[in-house]
Amino acid sequence: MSGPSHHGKWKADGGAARRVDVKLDAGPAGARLHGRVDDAHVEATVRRGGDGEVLLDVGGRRVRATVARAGDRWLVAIGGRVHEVARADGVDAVEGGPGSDPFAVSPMTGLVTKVHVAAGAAVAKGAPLFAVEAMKMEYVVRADRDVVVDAVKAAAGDRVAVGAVVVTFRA
Amino acid sequence: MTTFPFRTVLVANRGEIAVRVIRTLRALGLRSVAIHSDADRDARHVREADAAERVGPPPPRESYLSVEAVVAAAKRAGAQAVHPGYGFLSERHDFAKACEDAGLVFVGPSAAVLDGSSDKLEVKAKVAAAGVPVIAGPLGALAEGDAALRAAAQATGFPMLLKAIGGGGGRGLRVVARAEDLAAAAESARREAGGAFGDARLYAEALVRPARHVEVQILADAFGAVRVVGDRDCSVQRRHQKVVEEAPAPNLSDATRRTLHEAARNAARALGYRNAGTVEFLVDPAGRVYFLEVNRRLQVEHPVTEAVFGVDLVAWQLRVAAGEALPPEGAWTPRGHAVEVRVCAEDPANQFMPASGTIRRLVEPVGPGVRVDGGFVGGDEVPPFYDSLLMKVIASGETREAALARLDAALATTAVLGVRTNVAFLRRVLADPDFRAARLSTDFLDGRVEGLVADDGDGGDAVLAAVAAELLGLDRRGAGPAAGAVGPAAADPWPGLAGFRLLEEGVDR
Repeated sequence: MSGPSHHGKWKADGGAARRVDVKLDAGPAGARLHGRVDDAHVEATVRRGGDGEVLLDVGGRRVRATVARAGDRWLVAIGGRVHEVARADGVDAVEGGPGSDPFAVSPMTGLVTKVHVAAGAAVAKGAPLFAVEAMKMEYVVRADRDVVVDAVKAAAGDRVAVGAVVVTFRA
Repeated sequence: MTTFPFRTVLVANRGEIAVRVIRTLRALGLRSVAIHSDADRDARHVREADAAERVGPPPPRESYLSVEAVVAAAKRAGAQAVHPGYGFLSERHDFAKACEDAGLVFVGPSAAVLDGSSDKLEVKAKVAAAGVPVIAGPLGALAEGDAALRAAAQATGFPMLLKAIGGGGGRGLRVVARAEDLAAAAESARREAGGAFGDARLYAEALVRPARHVEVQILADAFGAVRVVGDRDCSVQRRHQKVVEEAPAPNLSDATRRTLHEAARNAARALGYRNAGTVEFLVDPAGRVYFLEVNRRLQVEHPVTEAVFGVDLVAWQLRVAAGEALPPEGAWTPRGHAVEVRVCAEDPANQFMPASGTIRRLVEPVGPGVRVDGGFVGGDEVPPFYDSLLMKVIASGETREAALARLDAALATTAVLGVRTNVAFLRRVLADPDFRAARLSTDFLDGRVEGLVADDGDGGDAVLAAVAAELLGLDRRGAGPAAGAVGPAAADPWPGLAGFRLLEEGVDR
């Protein structure tokens, strides 16, 4: 009797995409996960621990992982460190190049404390665009290149979510 | 057995410290009332209390920092006492006064003591007069103008430290290395202090560096007894925020320890202190001791003291507030060692940016000698309005080495998923050879942070294997999903693939 299998491309912690081709079969000491990651053979004995816990034996190394799903990512805690795993062949595979965004976003959920620019302003690389405050900490968002401001979407005192567009640039 | 003159206590705080105070109230048979802003309606401290009162909208100024709202909540809830925790209103004399005026027992120093010890420079002058060693520098506010700056520099030498009289947290603080930088530094420090505290006054001190941060826990009762409950080293700091704390302070000579404890006792007496407090000092490499300040509340790091002395400091705060006398000198003796780390919602890889959001899963560590004071469970929201402390992990053992081994093992099984944390960073701090050897100073993390924030590797096959196992529907007994399936489920060749299909559809977001 053969168990389920999975083929897909994944990347962990923003690293290179890796092709995963694995199968889960019943085994005497726990389930046997086996197959290939890229061109290398992988083999692990896996067992379910407590809530969200997966106990693995990978090549003689015993690993206790805690796994949770957050939207389109999987989060895996091993040894206190959290790894982020995402599909590299699906919905979230497309990414823009760094520094090319036609907008600046809030780096955290918080309160806009200051907006330094207005529509039409030419802003030099490194100059402040706006400031956000959360948890007693203020963060100043600066232009990552020379830009001309198209529109400002938030004012001082506004609450913004992480990733919210605050300033847009002209092409 | 204490007979408390109060039965219901309002806990005027949130997060882990509110949960921790509620636990002691429960153990003492007292009723607890939590307060919450709209952002914390369903927070852990609210769920764990016997009752809860809303104090306002999310911004602290309109909720947890509103004297009026908090006192009104206490009256509404029928509380007879208020425990302020740390931060927020804990050291505000106007809050203590408002409690006293409303007939509520304030679990802390009296309003008069808080009022008389709110000006840091006045406190320095008072304790210096009582023979407590202080850092060189004028005992008056820095006057405007170059002549005053020159006079101050004469007293302190360079490097000099400019400090705000009105507050702390690193704001209004400047290190001045050279005489020619002094005027500009003073001006910018004044501006910052004025903005942050509404008080632009500064004072000048010599910079004591390198130095360790060592603090002394005190308890004082209504009958004039002041007890020293050991010391703690909190030298590992990042931007004036403590990262690791331990008790007792390692590698102190008996003479230095005696000096510290005596100075703390004298400082407490000079201020007419009451209830639990902490006297902070710097200790230089020669073992010289310098008074820093008095924290007039329970400290975040109080559990390490509790671990080595076997006392419940919150219970003693309540007993002292109830008018009970402290046990005689020598009743409490330390045993072993304890170390605490602060697990915070922040991203070390991104300049320790505060993180907020939904915690998908949270596993608190357990084990011999391990204590966790946490404020959140899996599924909770971490709101962006308050400080980033999620939980404290404290480990104790017979020796420092044993405590550190337990702490590291505990952190290795700590999982906070969904909100970024500093857990991996903390493990690297604990593994640092200088930290292991207790070569401690307040500049420990300066120049080291970069090497300690970098996560190495992507976790390799284990990470992908864990995800694959999860989405292929690994079952609880550890067998593969198809094994042992009977009845209708056996007819489905892919019984464990629900998660996999969801992922394929990319439904979330």
